[in-house]
Amino acid sequence: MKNLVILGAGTAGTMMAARLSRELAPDGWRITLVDRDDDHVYQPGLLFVPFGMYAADDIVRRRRRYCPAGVTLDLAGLDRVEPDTRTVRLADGRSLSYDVLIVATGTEVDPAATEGLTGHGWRQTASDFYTLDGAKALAKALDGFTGGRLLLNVVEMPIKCPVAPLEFLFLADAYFTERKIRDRVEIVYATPLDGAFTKPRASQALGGMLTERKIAVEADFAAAKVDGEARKLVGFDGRELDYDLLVTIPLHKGSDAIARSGMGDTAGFVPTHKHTLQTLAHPEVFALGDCTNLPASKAGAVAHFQSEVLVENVLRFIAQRELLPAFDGHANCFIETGHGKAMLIDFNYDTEPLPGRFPLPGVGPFTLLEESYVNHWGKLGFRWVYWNLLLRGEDLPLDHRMAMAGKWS
Amino acid sequence: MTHEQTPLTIEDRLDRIATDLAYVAERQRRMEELVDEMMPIAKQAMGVAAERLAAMETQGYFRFGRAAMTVADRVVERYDQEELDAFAANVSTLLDTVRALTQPEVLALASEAGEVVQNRDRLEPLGVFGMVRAAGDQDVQRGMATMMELLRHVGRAADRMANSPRPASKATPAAPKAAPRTVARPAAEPAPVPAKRAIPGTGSSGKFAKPGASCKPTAPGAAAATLDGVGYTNDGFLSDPTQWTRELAEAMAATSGIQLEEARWKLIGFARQEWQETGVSPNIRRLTAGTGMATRDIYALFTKAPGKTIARLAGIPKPAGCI
Repeated sequence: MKNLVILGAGTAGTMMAARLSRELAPDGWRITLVDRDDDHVYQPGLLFVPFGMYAADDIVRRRRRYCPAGVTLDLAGLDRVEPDTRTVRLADGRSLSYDVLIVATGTEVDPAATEGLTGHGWRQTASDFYTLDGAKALAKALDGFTGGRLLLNVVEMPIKCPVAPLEFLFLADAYFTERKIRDRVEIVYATPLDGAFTKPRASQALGGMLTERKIAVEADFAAAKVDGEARKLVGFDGRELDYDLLVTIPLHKGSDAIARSGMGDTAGFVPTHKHTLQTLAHPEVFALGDCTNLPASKAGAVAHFQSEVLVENVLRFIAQRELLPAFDGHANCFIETGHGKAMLIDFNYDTEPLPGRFPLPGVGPFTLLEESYVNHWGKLGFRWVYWNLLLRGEDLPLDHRMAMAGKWS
Repeated sequence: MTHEQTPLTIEDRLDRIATDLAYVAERQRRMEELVDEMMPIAKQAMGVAAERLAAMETQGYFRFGRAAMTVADRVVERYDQEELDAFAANVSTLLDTVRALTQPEVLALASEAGEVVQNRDRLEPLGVFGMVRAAGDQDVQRGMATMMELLRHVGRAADRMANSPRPASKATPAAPKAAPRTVARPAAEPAPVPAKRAIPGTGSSGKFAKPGASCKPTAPGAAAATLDGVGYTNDGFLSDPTQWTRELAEAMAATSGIQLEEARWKLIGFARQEWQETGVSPNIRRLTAGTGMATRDIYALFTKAPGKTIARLAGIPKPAGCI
């Protein structure tokens, strides 16, 4: 009997468990899925919680419900991995040995890494929306917000779901407009990049979206510290931005357990082969999802496309065959733009998001780099797809490789 | 697999029934969830669709559509299958003809001819001498030349039609040369008919030469300008990081008023190495972790947007988001 251990029962880990449990002979392989709690958060839904569109309960389900038959779910939590002896140490002192290890530990926000951020006013006048607690705190803060300056700051790239900050801005604009207090609210976006849109085609197509909505941009802003009492965000270059409500996208880092195991880079992300998803340090260890150091987006769609490649490569590794360098960095995501509309983007390592129609050229029904109602319905309907198809490891009618068909280059 | 053949105990059977029931219940639950999730979306969709269709109704799209159906009905009734096939086969020739006939010069000619015809009551019948006199007129001479050329084409076309069994549908698409456009050509004399392959960027260095289906992904930073053989993006970053040299970095720094000394080189060197290893241009935190320098010191060396400036001088792509 051989052992395959998957670290993390989030989007990537659960999908891998579902797919591998179908592929590996149950009398030859024991699959164990490790996590530290039983709460699986539907992360795309976190964006809607601050605006009261989803309640927190709507987006959390038990992990065990999605653990496929034949797979053991161990919720003891991970202490560390000892890759040299191929051992996983659990937080309760037990250990598991493995023949193949799949790391899907994701990424965490680290608000404490920014001086003063978690001090005075944290979760009241300053909060994130990348955690359930943060999203709930923002829902409360926005509900009581009657006017003033809303400042959204991305502390540092990379972040999970890189379009989420923009979506938050668009939804905030729509939210205050609906509440008829938009004229009393100033919305400012402070980004470490040189603008809200950094890719040529996207800037060309969407450049006006922020000015139209009267959202100001502070570009090249590297946040040094927060003064919670004075409600000020201070940049390394000396710029000071006042706020009444600070929505922060804190620094992202890899899992602490990965850092303790010495398997991460300086940010705690696992160095992984760009195309095969094998870790660079250990051939029997693979990684997918947000935990890798790949130059792909940290997003569920990426984990989904990766899982298709990785199942094949794990089977090939077991059969001692050459791995397929098949992952191309493919990502796609809906971008909520408020007022019942959304955009869609589809891109990979080499190709920036282009306008066009998706997935059927000329027909769609989704529009790329362009707002439409259909995209918004797609985003809403995706929640069912997520729980019932994606996590179950079902195939979607989409290729893991990005196609140029339907894109206007 | 083999246990299918072995006789089942009652427990085994019950186990299997339980599994099947669980499976059916799960499918049922998924369907119910789907309906729950889709209803509000369908409601929104119906609302928007109704709004859109109402707008189209007011604008008259549907009235037009119904009228167009009547037109289509008449066409279908009047022409038989063969004629419709011939029409489909020659649709591009027909369109070429329409295009040729609607060139401004041709329209002007037609409108002048129309005026002449309208004013025919003012024209005197022409005798033999009148004909001779008119033949000396330069305009008439040019008109005669045009008419002769036209007649020549008509003659050739008539010849071809006489020699081919199915002139309309078969002869035209098969003929490879300019011949099928006979009708269009002479009429469009002043402005030659733009033959299909001549339309986009005539002869220009392949700018429009798109080989049909082959769509290559765009390069990450397509060059917007080239200087001394080195390509730059709109933001002044190298479009091809392999073109980087130390001298180039020095020249770029000099134009920005930056003197490259040891500490700055250290940052540039690390950024380049990091990009080569991971494919990502390092952010400030990576730069501090990788070089051991404090963020404040990096800001002292590159006062404005250090991450971006260092990437530019290191010849690697601009730190970017996904859009």
